[in-house]
Amino acid sequence: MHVSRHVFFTIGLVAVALVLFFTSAPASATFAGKNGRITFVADLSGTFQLYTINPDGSDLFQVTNLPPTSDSTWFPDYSPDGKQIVFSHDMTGSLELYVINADGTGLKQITKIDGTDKLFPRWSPDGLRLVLLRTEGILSAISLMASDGAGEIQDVTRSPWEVYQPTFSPDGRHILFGSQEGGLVSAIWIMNLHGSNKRRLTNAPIEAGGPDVSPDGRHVVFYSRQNTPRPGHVFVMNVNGTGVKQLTSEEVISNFPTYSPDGKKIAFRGDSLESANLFTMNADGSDITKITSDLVELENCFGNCLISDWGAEPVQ
Amino acid sequence: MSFRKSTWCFVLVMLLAALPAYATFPGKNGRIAFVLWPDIYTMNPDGSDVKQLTNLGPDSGALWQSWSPDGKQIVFNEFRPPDFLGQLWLMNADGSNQHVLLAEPDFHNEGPSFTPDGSAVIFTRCRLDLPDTCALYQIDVAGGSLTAITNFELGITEWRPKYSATGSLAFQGVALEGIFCAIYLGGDSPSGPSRITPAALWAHLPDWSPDGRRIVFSTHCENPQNEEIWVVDAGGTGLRRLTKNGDDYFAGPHDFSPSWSPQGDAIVFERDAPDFSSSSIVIMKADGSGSKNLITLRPSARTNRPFTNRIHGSGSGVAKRRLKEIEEGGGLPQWGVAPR
Repeated sequence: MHVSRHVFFTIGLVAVALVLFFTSAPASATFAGKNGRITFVADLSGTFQLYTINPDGSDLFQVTNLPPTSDSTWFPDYSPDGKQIVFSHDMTGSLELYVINADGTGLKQITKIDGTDKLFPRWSPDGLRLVLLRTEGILSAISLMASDGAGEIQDVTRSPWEVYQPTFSPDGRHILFGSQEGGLVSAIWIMNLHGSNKRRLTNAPIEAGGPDVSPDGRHVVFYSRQNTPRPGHVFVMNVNGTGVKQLTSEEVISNFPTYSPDGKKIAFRGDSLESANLFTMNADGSDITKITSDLVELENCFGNCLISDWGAEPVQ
Repeated sequence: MSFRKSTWCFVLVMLLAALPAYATFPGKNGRIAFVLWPDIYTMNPDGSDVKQLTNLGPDSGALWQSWSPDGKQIVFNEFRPPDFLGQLWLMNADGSNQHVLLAEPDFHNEGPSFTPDGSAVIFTRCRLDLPDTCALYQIDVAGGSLTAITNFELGITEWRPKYSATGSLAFQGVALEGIFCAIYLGGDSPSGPSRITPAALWAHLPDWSPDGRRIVFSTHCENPQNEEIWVVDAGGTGLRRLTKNGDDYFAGPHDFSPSWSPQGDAIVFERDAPDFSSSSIVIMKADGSGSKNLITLRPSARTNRPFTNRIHGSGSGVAKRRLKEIEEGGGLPQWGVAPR
């Protein structure tokens, strides 16, 4: 899709060069593929567990049956092939990363207990690495590690201010993340894979966080606080920070957006006065649809509850 | 010539005598009030003659004390069970006559300080139905009537208001303009408050110089990076660092809550040890030179407090929890005028 869009607007040698460039890129568009299920974390039975659901709201499936925890900071992420889910959990006393098959089998802890918390894991487009946030004392680090847990975790950045929700660009060459650097409440930044050429994409008053890049690598969807105590609306912008546009209206408090693997839809959490639910909409903000009904009472959906990720349909 | 000079001196003395006695405002240097949780104390500017003014423990606590313009009273916060909502209290400088100025079941009130004429107290008033939504209000000390200085805006907090002797208002804005914290001047003027510190300093806890020309403040209200004392002109120019604590967070001291002396010659502030094992009150000249330790207090203690700082997306609130401990420990010095 990325390739064809460029070919249509390009002729001659330029077109040939573009085709060669994009087809040689490693598995571009992290989660490109046919739309599969949506995974999320919620307290539906007295404790937070990992679930998946069809994009139309049918076939709710409980993936995990883990010890009770009050921590909703699981931040699940589908592997690029749609077969596994990585998440963080505090069952050992610290936040460690785990990988589980989407059918609930094969749970495996992939990080070692070393006095740090690991959270916000996101798979690289080729499935070989994870980007994550590691916190140690007052320091927050954006780090890289092998997705099978082998080797050591490598810190890319370390800072005393908060950073959060790092994610790969679909070409695997950049990391986007939320940060309070510079004294801002929250902004979205981008940097090269190993921390160089760091630059801020959003202006201070937007209070932007939780970036997710479209599978074609051209757009970033994010939530914005906009002077609300919790994320308030879903926005989209070009990957260079231009063209900021609000997608969701005032009618529903919305946050934690994630692109569908085909790039045509966005799933997000939406709050009414009493409950939090999963919603989908077209990538241009049209056709907002509530796919669950009174999924979680709002008072039980604090923190990062209902952060979701839209997986690709597994290739058999 | 000699006659003219002495005449002018006489006129000047009479003019000064006719002016109201302003607060941390100009005057003769008096005692320094400070907190050693859960109580408020005062001491001489050389660290001698420490006196405990409140006796609240173990379930209650006092914080955010501030002197009246004439140095005869102190307004402060009390936090009491069961809800620990901030209440405004008044007492004499010797701790006598402690009484409530404002206690509301449906608001949390914090960080009081006097207006220049001493007739009212300005403070931060927080709604309980909306998180992180606090505006500046003023209460008439005699009559108890409330006046809104700024409006409530969802997610916006205005902290630590301080009037200058000349009636200018400085405060710490939280989340204004999407900036975590900075010092602003002005209230709800048509043009809005104006920011006088850069976002990257995370400025908080402002205090005016007695002549109303400069503001001293501490840096890094959140996400600490070796907090320091800085000063800025009221016009936003002349930004200058007074203490320099290095880049290694656990190697340098942590400085907070500066307060100008009424004579304008010195600044007192809280200095925590690099590892937060102790908390001291330090005095230095107004240009940042000649710092001297006045008193060393025991380390901070964790306590119940209903209002924590803003929580952000990561869920990693380690830095914020550290700040909470600091705020509740010993320190927060405020320099008063010597009563006449």
